[in-house]
Amino acid sequence: MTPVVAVVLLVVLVASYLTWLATRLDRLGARVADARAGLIIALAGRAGAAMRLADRCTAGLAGDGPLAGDGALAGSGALAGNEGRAGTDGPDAGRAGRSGRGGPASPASIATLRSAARAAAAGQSRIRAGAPLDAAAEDVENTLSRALRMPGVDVTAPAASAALHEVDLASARVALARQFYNDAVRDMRALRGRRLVRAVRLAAHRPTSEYFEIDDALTPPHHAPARQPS
Amino acid sequence: MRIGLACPYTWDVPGGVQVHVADLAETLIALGHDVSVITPADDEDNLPPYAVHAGRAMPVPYNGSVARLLMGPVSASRVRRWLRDGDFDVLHAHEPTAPSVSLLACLLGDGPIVATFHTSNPRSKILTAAGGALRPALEKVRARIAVSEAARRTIVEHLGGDAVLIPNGVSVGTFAGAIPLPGHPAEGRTVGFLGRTDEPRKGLEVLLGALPALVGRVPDARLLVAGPGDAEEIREQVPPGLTDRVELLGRLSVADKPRFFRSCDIYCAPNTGQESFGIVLLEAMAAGTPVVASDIDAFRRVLDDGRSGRLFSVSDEQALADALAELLRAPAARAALAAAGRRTAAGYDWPTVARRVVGVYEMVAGDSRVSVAAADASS
Repeated sequence: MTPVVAVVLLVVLVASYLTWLATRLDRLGARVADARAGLIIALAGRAGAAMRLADRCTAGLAGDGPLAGDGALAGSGALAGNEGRAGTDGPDAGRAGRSGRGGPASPASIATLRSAARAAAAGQSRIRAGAPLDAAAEDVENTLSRALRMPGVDVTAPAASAALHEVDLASARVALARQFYNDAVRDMRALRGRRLVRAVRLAAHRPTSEYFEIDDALTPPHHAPARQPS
Repeated sequence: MRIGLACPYTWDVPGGVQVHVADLAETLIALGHDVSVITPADDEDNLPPYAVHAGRAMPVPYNGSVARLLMGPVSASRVRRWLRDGDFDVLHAHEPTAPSVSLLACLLGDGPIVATFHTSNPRSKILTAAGGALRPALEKVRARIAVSEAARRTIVEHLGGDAVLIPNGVSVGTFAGAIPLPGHPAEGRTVGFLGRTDEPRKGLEVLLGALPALVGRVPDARLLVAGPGDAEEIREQVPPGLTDRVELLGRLSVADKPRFFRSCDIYCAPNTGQESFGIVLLEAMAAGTPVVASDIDAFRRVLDDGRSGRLFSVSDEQALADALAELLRAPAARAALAAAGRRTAAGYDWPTVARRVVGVYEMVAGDSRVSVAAADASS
């Protein structure tokens, strides 16, 4: 009798432990999915802001002077400063050093920015439709990051300060969303990697999520403020 | 937004986390949000209208001092009821590694959870030992906030992953508008000190050591010392012949703290280490009092490498006396430093800080709400 009770007890204990692990995996799956959705929203926000910046810059180049309608926000650097204040972790902390860097204002770099923003938006639509967040997606977003930092954009953009400010805020949001997503992926992978979880194939029906690593700093890497490795 | 804040430490016992949660809650309410706080308390009648009582906490030695913590079936059921009734858009747990209400809320809740980490402790034995046990609760946290670079490093080292750095806030208006204490500003030029006088790391000894050299160069210099500690003990430490230069205020009430800063010509923070942030410096700057502080990491960061306050090399009495004398004799330099300090403090004003916190809430909230975790819903 006693061995039977012990066996039953053991089976019940193991079963409830496995159920608990499965619940945790489900929860983490939901967290990864939500973080992924948030990341795509943030990336789309950045692509949209970059597109509007390109439009404003084109208008500015055509008008050959300060952009009408941006005057009211000309002093909005203070606002951007609040977001990444005190050089904390805001990727826009380095923006002050951007404007005034050498190089001619160039329609060519604005065109590059526009096509990079368009490519990013197209990539995001594919991801929404089910394409993976993979190396190809990272490449497209990196191209947009680089385009936003081109000297030609740097020179033209300060005249479109409202649009530039919007790009700064959107980029800061991308950095946050990416951190939330990568943290979720890290926790998920840690639990999936547990020996018991692998042995009973608790996570077998779930696709493995990959980290999403892009260069989302506003300043080139050698100018960027020191950041913690994430 | 409907926001639930969980505070792990006893509300009516003074402490940095409690003050932070109260300030954040009140600022969020002023910004138009719907806020409820759950916290342990000794006396339920002391709780503000936005707070819910989680029970009485037990004193437990933790992290070098005595923390009062709370775990158990009664508090768990109160936390569960609070989560269910609150129907929050986001749950914000403060210091979720402490065995108390915040940890319970993380264990029992599900959905958009944000956590703020306050402690910095590079060699936390508790975190190292309990890291695995805390995992099921912490893996529900969708966004982590650290209040200082040191707190962030602690997270990275012990828990892996990263955290958003959003510093402590300061109620700038309260400090900027305070009137000096009765009898102040007094005759002569005053240097203020605030902190436990019997705790060596607060550095009162360094300041008293610098006093003879300071008085040698600024004959009417005086010290105003505020903070809990034995008055007799301090008098014994004062260099001979200078007792009339040191005024002891004892422990300050919350209302008197801003008035204290407004009573000083310079606020001095001679701390010798182990400060993770330096909120006191920001309070002094908000009051418009120029700051002279030791060049420890946290202070260097807050003072923007010496641009918003004067730094001196830590524990160096001569360097401290020089810095104080130089500034006390130069009203223009003091005014410039005060102006720089006010600008720095403005960036840490609570509404500014709270908006950044809300930015994080909005990013994790999405369409879902906080619910009671499925596995616990039945119990």
